[in-house]
This record gives sequence, C-alpha cells and structure tokens, in this order.
Amino acid sequence: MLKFVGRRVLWLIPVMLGAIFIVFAINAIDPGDPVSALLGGSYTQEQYDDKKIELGLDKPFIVRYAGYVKDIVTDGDFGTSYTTKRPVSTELVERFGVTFKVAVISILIAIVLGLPFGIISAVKQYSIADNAVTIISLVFASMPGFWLALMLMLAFALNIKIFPASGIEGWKSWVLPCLASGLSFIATITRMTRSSMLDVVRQDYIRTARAKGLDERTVIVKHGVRNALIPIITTIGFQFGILVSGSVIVETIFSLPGLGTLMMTAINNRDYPVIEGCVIIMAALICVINLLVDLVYGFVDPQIMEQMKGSKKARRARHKTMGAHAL
Amino acid sequence: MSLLEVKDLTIHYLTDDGDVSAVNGISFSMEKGDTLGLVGETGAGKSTTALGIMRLVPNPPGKILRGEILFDEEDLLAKPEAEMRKIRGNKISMIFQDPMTALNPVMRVDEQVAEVVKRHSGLNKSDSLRRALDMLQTVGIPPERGGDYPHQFSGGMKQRVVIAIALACTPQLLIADEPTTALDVTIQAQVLDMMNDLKQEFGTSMILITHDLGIVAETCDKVAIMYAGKIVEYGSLRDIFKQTAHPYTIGLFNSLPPASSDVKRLKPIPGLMPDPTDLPTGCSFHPRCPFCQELCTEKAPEDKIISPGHSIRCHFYQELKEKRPVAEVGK
Amino acid sequence: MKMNWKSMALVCMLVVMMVFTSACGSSSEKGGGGGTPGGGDTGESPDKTLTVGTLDAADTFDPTVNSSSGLGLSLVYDTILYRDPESGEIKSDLAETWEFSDPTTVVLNIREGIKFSNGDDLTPEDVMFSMQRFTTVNTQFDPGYANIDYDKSTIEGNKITLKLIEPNPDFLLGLCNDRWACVVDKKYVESTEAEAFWDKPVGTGAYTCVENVAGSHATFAKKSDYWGTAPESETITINYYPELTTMMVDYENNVLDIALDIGESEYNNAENGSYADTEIKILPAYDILSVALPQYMECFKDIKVRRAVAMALDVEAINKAVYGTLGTTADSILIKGIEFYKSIGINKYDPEQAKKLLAEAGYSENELELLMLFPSMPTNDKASAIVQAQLAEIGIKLNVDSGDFATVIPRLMNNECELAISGTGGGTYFASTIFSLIDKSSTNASIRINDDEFNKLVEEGNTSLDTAVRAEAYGKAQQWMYDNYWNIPISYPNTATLYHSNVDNVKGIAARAMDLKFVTFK
Repeated sequence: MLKFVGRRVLWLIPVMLGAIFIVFAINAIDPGDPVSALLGGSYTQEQYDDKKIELGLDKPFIVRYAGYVKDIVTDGDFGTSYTTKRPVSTELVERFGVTFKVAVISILIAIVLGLPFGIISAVKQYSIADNAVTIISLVFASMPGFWLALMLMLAFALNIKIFPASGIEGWKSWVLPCLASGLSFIATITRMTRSSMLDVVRQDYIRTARAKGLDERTVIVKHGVRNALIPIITTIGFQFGILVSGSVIVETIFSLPGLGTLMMTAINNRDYPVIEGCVIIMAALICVINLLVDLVYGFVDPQIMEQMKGSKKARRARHKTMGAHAL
Repeated sequence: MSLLEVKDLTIHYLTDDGDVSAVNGISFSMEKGDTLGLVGETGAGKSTTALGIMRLVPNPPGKILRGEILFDEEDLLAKPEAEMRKIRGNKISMIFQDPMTALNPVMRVDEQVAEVVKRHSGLNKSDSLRRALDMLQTVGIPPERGGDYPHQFSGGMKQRVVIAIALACTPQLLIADEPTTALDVTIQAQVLDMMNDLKQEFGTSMILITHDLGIVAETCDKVAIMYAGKIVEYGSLRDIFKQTAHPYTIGLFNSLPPASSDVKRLKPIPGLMPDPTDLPTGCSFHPRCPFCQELCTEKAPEDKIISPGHSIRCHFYQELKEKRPVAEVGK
Repeated sequence: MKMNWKSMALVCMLVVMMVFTSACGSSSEKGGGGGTPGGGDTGESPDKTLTVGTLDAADTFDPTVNSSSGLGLSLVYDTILYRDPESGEIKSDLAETWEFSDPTTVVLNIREGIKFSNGDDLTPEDVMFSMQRFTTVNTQFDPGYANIDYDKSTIEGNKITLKLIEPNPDFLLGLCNDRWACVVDKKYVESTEAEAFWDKPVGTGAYTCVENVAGSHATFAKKSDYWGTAPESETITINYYPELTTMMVDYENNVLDIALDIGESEYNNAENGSYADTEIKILPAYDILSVALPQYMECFKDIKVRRAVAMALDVEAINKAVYGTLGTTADSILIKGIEFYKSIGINKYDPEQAKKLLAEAGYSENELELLMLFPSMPTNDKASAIVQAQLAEIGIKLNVDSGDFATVIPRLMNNECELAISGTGGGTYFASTIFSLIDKSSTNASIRINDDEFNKLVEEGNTSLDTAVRAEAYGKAQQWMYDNYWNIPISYPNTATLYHSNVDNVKGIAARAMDLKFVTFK
C-alpha cells in the first residue's frame, strides 16, 4: 500500500515539471510583453532594456526555467510579483484557501444532492420523478456559470436579502458562490449516477439480494450503490479540476479573493511569476485530488485494493484462486 | 397436506412489442421432502414460474394475472410485500443459473452469507458471521477463505457459496433454476451430490428447473414437463421415464443421443418454440406434433389423468398409447 | 420512503422556478424607477464606520509601485503639499512653507513634531528619501522627481533646498499628488522589505491600516494622535469589487455608503431614481479622448488631408455614443477644468467639405487606407467603430485592430499604427503633463508632434514662472493645435459617484482619488 502511494506521489514530480515547462513556454511564446505592460503606455528603448534586465527576462529560456525550478525546490521561493512586488508564495497562500473552500463545498453540495437524485432516477426509471430530475439537471447543465451566479445574487442577495453579495465574512457569504459552482456540477453527478445505477440494478446479484428477503432500501443502497460508485468517483475527481479552474467566474462575481481572480489580474498584467505560481498550485491540487480518488477506488472495489496492496496476502489469495480451479 | 400447491398460475409480460404469455395456467403440488423437476426447453416459462412463486417477477413489465400459490396453506399471492420478504431466503430460497454474476463483487463471501442469517434469525453480527462460516464449511469452503471476495473463487466454489446463502436459514423449499448449467460436467456432479446430501440433512423440498433429463433422472422424485407456459405432462419419475405419454416428452427423449449405439444424425423435434406473443391456437404444440389432428388446431387440451399421479394435456393420448411402443430410457 | 424522495424532487423543482421568476422580475423593475426600499439603517452606525466600494484592485501601500488608486494611500500617508479639490489652491500639508526662490530652486520648510505611526519622528530626510525612491527603486512613474538634482539639493534643520535640473513651474503641484507625494518613513523602509508595504505601512496620515486582504478589502482605523484635523470616521473600509453588479447590489443593500466611479448605465439608473436615498457626484475624470494623426505618415504631411480627416469627424456624435450622459464634448487639447485650459472651439464637422479637400489633395475615393491600432477598451472600441464609419463617408478606408494592452504596446512602439486613438488614462491635472504626452519628448511616436512653432509655445508654457506668460503661451499652443489638425480632441469623460444621504462632504479631485478622511456623517 505504501509502495503504491509512494509511487504515485513520485509521479507528481515529472507532472509538475511538465506543467511548469508548458506554462513557461506559453508565457514565452505569447505576444504580450510584461516589460511593456509594466512600463505603461510609452517608454524609451533605454527604459525598456533596463526594465528587462531588472525582471531577469534577458536570460535565455532554459536558464530561467532551471533557475525557477531550483528556487522552488530549495527555498519554496516562487519569485516576486511584477506588479505588487510581493513574494508570489505569500499571495498564493493567501488566496488558495478561498478557492479550495469553494471547490470542496460545491462538490459536497453536488454529491449530497446529485447522488440521491441519480439513484431515484435510476430506480424509478421513466417515472415522473425520473423525468423531473432529468429536466432539472439539463436546466442546470445548460446554464452559463456567470448567469447562474448573477441570478442567484439578484434573487437571494437583493430581492430576498438573506445572503450577502460579496466578501468572505461569516458562513453566509459562502452559500451563494458554492451554490453557483455546485449546481451545474450536480447535473453531471446526477446523470452519471443514474446511468451507473441503471447498469448495476440490472445485475444478477441484485436479484440474489432480493431473493434473500432484504428490504428494497438495503438492496439499492448496500448492494447497488457500492457497485455503482466507481464511475461516479471518477467523475468527481475529473470535475474537481474543472471546478477549480472555473472558479474565476464565481470569484469575480461574488468578489471572493481567490486564486481565480489572482490569476485573471496576473494574466492581464502579464505578471509571469504569479501566473506560473497559480498554474503550479492548481496542477498540484488536481494531481493530489486524483491520487485521492484512486485511493478511494481501493476502498470501494476490493479487486483494485489488492492491486494497490500488492501484498503477500493478495499474492497468496491469487495463488489460491488458481489452485481452486482444480477443485 | 401439501407443502406447496400451485393453482392456475398465469403470468404475462406486458411489453410495447406485445403481450408475452410466459406462464399460462399452471397447476401442480408438492409434498414435504419432494424434489420436483421442472423440465422444458428455453423459453418454456420455467424460470418465470419460479420467480412467480418467489414473487420476484419484475413488475413492470411482468404481471401475475391470476392464480393461487398455497404455501403452508397460505396464498402467497395475497400476502403483502413485507410478509413476502420474511419468507424469501427464510422459508423459500432460490438459487440462480449463473454463479459468476450472482454474488456481489464488493462484499466478502462470509458477509454475504451472514447477511441472510442476520436478516431472518435476529442474531447479532458476530453470531451471524459464525453461523455463516459454519454454513460455508458445510458446503466445502474452509473458514479461512471466508474473508475473500467472489472474484477469488472459481465457478464451482461460487455456486457453493450461493447454495450456502440459500440454505443458511434452513428453508422448507429450495428453488434451483438450472444450478449446474454454467458449470462443467465434473463440477456438476459434485454440486448435485452436495445438494442431494443437504436436502436430506435439512429435510428441504426442492424444485429443480432444468433442461437436462439426465439430471432429472439423478435427483428428482416428480417431474413436470413444460411447453409454451403450460405443464403438458406431470408424474412421478417412473411415470415420465417409463410411461412417457405426451408427444413432446416422447420427442425430448428421442432427441437424446443413445448411449448404446452409434448414430450418424440426431433426431430433434422439428420446428421451434412458438413466439410467446403469438401462441398457436388450440394446443400450443400442434405445429410440431407428428400426430396433430384437426381438433388439436382448434381446442386446447385439458388436463387429463392417465393414472394416479400422472396427468397429461393431449386430446389423443389414449390412441397414441395404444399405437406405438413405449420409449425406454436406461438408467 | 418512496413518497419522500419523489416529493423532494418536486419541491426542488418548485423552488428553482420560484428563484428564477423572482430574479427575472427584479431585473426588469430596475430601470423603471421605484427601486427597492432602503431596508437598512446600517449606514448610520453609531460608531461612525464608513464603507466605500471601488472597482480598482487592492494594491500595495508603496507609492512607487501602487498602480491603481490612491484611496488607501491618502488615508495612511500625508503628502508634502495639498491641493484643494474645489479651489485648486495649494495648501500646506507636511511642508509648512514653500516657494520658488529662483526658477530652478524650491525651498520647503517641513513641520516639526510629527510622528509616524510607529513612533519615529518625521524628518526632512524622510521627505527627500520618498522623492528619491522614484528614481532608484521602481522607476516606472515619474512625478517629476527625476528632475531633482539630488547631489546639489541640501537639508538644513527642517529646511529642504531642492535644485531642479530643468525649470518646472508645476513642480509644486507635483508635491500635492495623492499617490506620489506620500512621505514614507526612511528608517522603516530601509529595514524591511516590500512586504511591509502590504498591510503594515507606516505613515504620518490620519489612519493606520488594520487589515489589507488581497482582492477583498482594506480596513483602516483612526489614529488617536493625528497632528492635523481629526477626521470623523472611526473606521474606514474599502471594498474591492471585480464586478460592477456586485458593488451595486452591496450599495443598494446599504453595505456601502459610497460607490465610486459607477459608469454610465448605473449613473442613468441613479438619475432615474432606481436607488433610494442617494446623492450623485459628478467629477471630471481628467482624461481626454482624441484622434491623433502620426507625423510619420506620408499622407498627413499635407494639411488638406489632415483637415479632411478632422472635418469628417462628428465629435459630438462620438462623444454621445461613447460616454453618453457622462461625457462633455471637447473644445480644446487641454482638459476643461485644469489650469490654463482655454475654450478654443469644438471640431468643425463638414463631410462635404472634407470630401472636396481629399480630392484636392489628390486622393480618389477609397484610395486612402489606414490602420487604427489600440489597446482594447470599451471606450476605444466604441469610438473606433464610429470613426471608421465617419471616415468611410468621405472615402477613407479605416481598418481597426485591437488587442490587450500588453500585446498592442510593442506594436505601437513599432510605428504600426497609422491613425491613433488615445486618452491620457485619467488623472492628468497639469497642462505640462498633457503636452508632454504629445510633444517632441513623447515616447509614443504615433501621437508625437514635432513642430518648431508648437515646440516653442509649449516650452515657454512649461518653463516660465509667470502665470500670465504661461497662460498666453499655452493658449496659443491650444489654438495652434486647432488650426493644424494633428490631434483632434473628442471628449472629456466624467465620472459619477453615488453616496447615501447619511454621509456628507464627499469630495476629491477625481472619483478614484476621493479624500475619504473628510467625509462626515449627518
């Protein structure tokens, strides 16, 4: 087990190096110029050259890339923002919490609502409940994120004043942004759950469970859902990445100081160190989430757990299986 | 006093493509300790009958149109679902055809057996587990393998687990729907032997659904031959094998390759099972019956008694019996 | 069990319907008057908390780096001198007296006994240090402090004698700037890093920064021992909004007392009475939108062509389209309201005459093709579309290309632009600044004008210490521009600021340079 986790963690390194490389490359190729952006509307060639040296942009690509990686690994130094002159690591730490919190709560909302809806939909296929759930999911899936966010704000912050429109003070300010992110996500989970459950409910072992005299609830939840979980968990892991990167819209509209708004401002200003820092954090976050998803698989499906363990017990069990064929 | 009495059971599947007449007015009875073989080709309605007794027919689209199923003097079709759940797994158990998919892949086998024990016996978790391990040992699975998952077992061992689940609460009636069809022959023999032993040890009655006459010969006391949702011939093992009366049954026996001599060609019954959405008029077998008369195309034959315990649905069984020799099937 | 889940789904569907019908209903009400009742008495907090909303991002307290707004700077720091936003007069702030002893020497007397928020004493060294930082640390802005010869300047007691390299009559005004004239504590800055400018700035101002949360808000608390007039607000909070709608929602909910620089559509809504209990303050943005003809273009060497281009432009129409109710049609190259502005005349619109001139210059219809290149902004985008249409009317084909700031600037530096559209960016209060953007020293070639007569007039206006002489020189320069068509002024944009009637004395030079410490509560 430890070996499995250890190996996956080690894989993070080449992935991160690759992500940094790609961002560096994009920054280098893209037509905008941070030197011009910083100097403002007009400047002399001399000013330009000086600034370029000051920012270290006169050095060749590989040298900059290697230096950057070295700084991160040895000092945790992500460089300094071109615009605010603050260490990028400080800015990342400040903003990370907000984005992460919104993402996690949105996912929880989506799971808590999406899973039961998907299950009901599958168990009562073609009934009114199923149709209602499908229609609602489609409605939410089709809504553009910013429109949904604005509508929620107008409805619940302006007309019915229960939640604040901006800021991060108190638990109430998190409700609307998390709903805005989570609702579109619900649609995906519901549909995935529905289709996975539909597969599972037709299986023979469900019939066996019923033949045992178990009540329907136990059959669906204990026998059905556990088997339906794997594709659902995959979807969750995948969607988390999308949620994190799509946080810009929700953060902008609800005025949340998160990674999304930080990245938007940085991109407009061609603030390379901040852009790179944000990308690294987001990439790392997505990698870690995917690792967790893989670990969760192990708990849900014992066959995968064995692979992950690769332990003596599993090997013995495999031997037994082979031997049992002789029975 | 019969253990089980089925009267005029009729089950149809109401689909968009038509009304599937799966079971059309079946009646039979069983005493305690009997093993009834329910024989017929695929599509005859055997599995549906079994599901009907358990009331596990998938409700859309299946529907039990009429009939009575008296178990211990009580009509199962009149019982509320909550009471049926107390009976399933407890008084009446069922095992299904394909052992590879019958077990929940993410649960340990001992837990799957313990589940049915706990449900019906009211024992706590650890006692149920102990009982489960005992049961597994009885079917030949050592207790140290109790914590393993289904994918770690072979087909034959999985079927044993299924049997353990079915018999864990010592049911009065076990319905086995082609339990050995998916297994290879050597395993088949072992599983059947084990089922017979258990049957004797626990005093369980059994309905064995199969299309294999050889198995019937090994294990059954009574036999019912089904065709197109009806029982066309019913009797004791001796009656059916020695005093075969219905043309369909005769055809079945004739299509078996003889053990004694060499033949170049098999003698199957010509034609196919009728489309259950569009059954033939009169006797459902008439298009394939070599002795078909005009009456057969118009009127469905009623259940007639040939001798005590031996009944048949055929208009002309008397004439047939006199005209042709009796088929012999060696044991 | 089954009934519960089914009804839950139906209930949710109903809730969703309710949400959206209520939301849709409200957005149609907004324009037509009768807005939401001002549900709160939250503005009149007994402990005098002022909450202000702005669209600028939160920023550092380092005057040499701060790029967006001086709102926070003016609370935490004092400036060397202070310019009264209404009268334009220079008043004393940290400097008690000030004068030009000769055209290139400025003498300041710094007040004594003032302390920074960390207890350090304010010294003239701090003042000198604050100015010099603009030439050493982060050099992207030059408020004129590069013009000081720091080697020849001296400090004696509390007197500073500054030696200027070039004469600059507007130098004193440069010591009033709310962003760049802030005085920082030399000792503190030298001992700490840039981080200290984030939420622990040390200044002599009336407030200390309690909290600066990136991307969200900044909170300031009143100092008990401020050397100047004590302000009324105990606490000031500035909320930063990336999105205008959110700011307006908070304003309507009385979370904000003041909403700064709200843009034209919200201004119209406010005028129509959508916001209860609201006063509106209009201030010039000190910006000018104009069309400039690059001198490196061969075709523009002929004055007939330049005049044709000018006459093709209906600047009133452009102003209306771009700024609507928040714009004033321009009538001079200098911005209305600044010193030395003279009303010369709105650009003459005569497309028939323009066509004739173009033909006389030898261009047939659609022969002349020009590229207009600019950083994408709503104002530039709108204006360029109209200019394109108007030039098409007289037979000039204008191609329009825009992009984001960082992409376009290098191309502009490369002289790719053939007809320019430009603005100053707002906050230009001095004639000399405006002229420096377009005169021979300008670094932007597409709007640079190098002409002997013009150069002479501008030079005279920039360097003479005699106000009358300056007025005459600048006046002639403005007239010259009108007669020579190198730069056609279109609009002076204005800004609108909303505030609830529980606060008063909302004033400042510009919307994003409000002097929040003067705000009082009714």
